[in-house]
Amino acid sequence: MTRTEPDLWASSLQGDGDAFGELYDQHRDRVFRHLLRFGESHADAEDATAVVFLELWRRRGSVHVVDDSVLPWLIVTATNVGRNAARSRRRYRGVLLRIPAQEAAADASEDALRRLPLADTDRALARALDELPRVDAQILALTALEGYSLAEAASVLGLTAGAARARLFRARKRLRATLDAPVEEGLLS
Amino acid sequence: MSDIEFSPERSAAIRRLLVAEVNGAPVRAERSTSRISLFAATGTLLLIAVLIVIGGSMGSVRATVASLLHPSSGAGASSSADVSPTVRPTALPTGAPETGFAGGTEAGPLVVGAAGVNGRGESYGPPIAGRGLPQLVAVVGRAADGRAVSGYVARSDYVGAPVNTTVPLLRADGTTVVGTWTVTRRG
Repeated sequence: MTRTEPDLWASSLQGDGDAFGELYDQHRDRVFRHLLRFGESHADAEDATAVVFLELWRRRGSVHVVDDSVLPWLIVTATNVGRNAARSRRRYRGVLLRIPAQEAAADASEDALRRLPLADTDRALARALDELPRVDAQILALTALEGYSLAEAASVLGLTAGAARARLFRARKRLRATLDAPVEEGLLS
Repeated sequence: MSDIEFSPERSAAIRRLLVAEVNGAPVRAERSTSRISLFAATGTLLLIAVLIVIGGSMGSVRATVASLLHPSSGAGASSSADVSPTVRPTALPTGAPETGFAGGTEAGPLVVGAAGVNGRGESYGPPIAGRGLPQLVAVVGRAADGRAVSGYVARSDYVGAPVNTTVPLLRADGTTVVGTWTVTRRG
């Protein structure tokens, strides 16, 4: 029988590694794709995904669960990891070394393609997110990119609805000023 | 393998690692960190007391105490930075400057990933699957002031270059340097 996410999270908190593994299975792709938005290479985004879930475990005592899901918290953490890639990995350097390296590419061009997997709009977005204040980027990631409501985003970030709305308004305004390339549909609307 | 798919082998390895981490000793649990912080705080207070007792000039004691109480001005600030969600965010910065292209606009705005051929006959743009690389490849690097900036790197600069090599970040003209870009994986 498939266990629900609240069950998995509760079991994880009791030290059930398999339950944590199932949570990873459920949310891995959403976290990974979000990290790719920050212009990371394929392999680096995979490493960063590991960092996000290691953070979930390390910070388990203070994780905000929204509508029985840890995914919003994961997205916010992924936003932080994506914006501070090198610093975020430093804590887990030893752990990341235990993940096998990606196989060598067949040729240099293919490797370069993997290193730069994103469309132009994503690179522009990565740069724009990098320049936003941290919480503004988190609000934008949750609402515009991942489809959460403003109330849910406010909840996971510990903001009032008014403060969240003001930050989202400001983030969109700054993105409009920064981006000169078309961006993902709905991002600025 | 598609670029947006997690490679199965690495995913399985990460999963095993996470399961082992949760099953095993919680070496990085918050509780442990709190204990360490408590020890550190206690040690700091003892050190302050010893410094005050054994004397020395009051000026130097005050300076030492200040440096212990405000370590954020040193290198410790970056190492202790956290990437987890901020529950109580800091106040909104006021008067923050509008951001723009760090490379300036004297030669016209940079268009991220624009493709074409420059005046020297060099192709530039993003890599496109199946067509290989242009001579100048679109990337986002860093300007001298640390901000992210879009530009291009010469294919000849980084193909074959070892990891962590820093190469010039150029405009599409292939000569104007707007920052640097660091090779993250061996080309």
